[in-house]
Amino acid sequence: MEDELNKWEGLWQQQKASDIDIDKLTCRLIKLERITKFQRLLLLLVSVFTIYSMYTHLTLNSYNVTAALIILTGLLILLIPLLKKKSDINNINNYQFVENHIQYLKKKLLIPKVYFLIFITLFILALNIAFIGALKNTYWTYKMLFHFSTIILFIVLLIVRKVGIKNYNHEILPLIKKLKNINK
Amino acid sequence: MNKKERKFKDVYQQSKDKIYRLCLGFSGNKTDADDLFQEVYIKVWNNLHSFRNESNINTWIYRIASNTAILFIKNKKINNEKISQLQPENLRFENNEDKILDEEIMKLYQAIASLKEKDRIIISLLLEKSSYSEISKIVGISISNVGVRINRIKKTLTKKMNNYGR
Repeated sequence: MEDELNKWEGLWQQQKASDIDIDKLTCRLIKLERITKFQRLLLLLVSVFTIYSMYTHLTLNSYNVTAALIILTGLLILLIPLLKKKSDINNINNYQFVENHIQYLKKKLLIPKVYFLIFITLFILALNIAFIGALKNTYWTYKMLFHFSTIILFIVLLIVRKVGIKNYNHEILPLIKKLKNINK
Repeated sequence: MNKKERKFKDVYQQSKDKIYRLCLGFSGNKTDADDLFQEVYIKVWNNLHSFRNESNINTWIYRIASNTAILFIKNKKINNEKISQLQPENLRFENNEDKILDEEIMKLYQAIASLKEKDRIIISLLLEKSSYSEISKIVGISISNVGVRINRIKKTLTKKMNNYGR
């Protein structure tokens, strides 16, 4: 057995890395890093601009403010798990890495199941509150029409959620199973 | 060249061959090994700030490489069908580039690639002359378990290599 191992070791060590242009790779990585920084800055600027526009252009009545706050809360509930960092890759062993990744994937499954449901409920609630304020002095039928349209939107979003759950389950559940097998 | 670039190139020069071997042992073919190899160094670049010079570079980079490999295979959706294609009796060289490689070397790499994921990492580390203690730190199993698994892997691998010759 030891002879076999020595033979394998000899064969194994003969393989050398394919030639990759390290300078080119480094340049690409620097470029990617800059793009990521730029995207973060852009996202921050867009958020600031949106809040500023809402503050200056939106009639600041209690209905609109409440609706905006509810949508903001819904967005935060949805964005926080989406933007959560994946597990550390360099300071943990394979066993812990796989365990952490399984937990990460399980939490990801909750995005369409729980967080998206909370978001769409809050979104529809916010729309209805905004409509109450905006349609105060209009006909009763108009009011009904707008409120009814939010119910249709809610149903459409529920269907989207259902498709999302199906896709997530299809993609994530086999991975969880495979990762669990690795750690057996 | 800034400090990060210099450090990255140093790490690359020190580790490229062993990381490539680990990638090839894990994937069993040159195309996937090349992709995995690049992915590992992208992760190295992104995590370079967390590497401290006083810690062991081998353990640090092997952890990145093996963790990336585990997820890479998952992302590549290498399913059981493809794994079964890596069984020695089904082994075929994939393209001209592979033909250039010595048949014996490729046989070994492909036989290793047909093992379970963790076993692939363990045998790759062993063939890189890593100690049991280092393997245990990278894989996350006890040293005695490393020994048990290595014995099992050796037997399986001998069988696979022998079948190959028939």
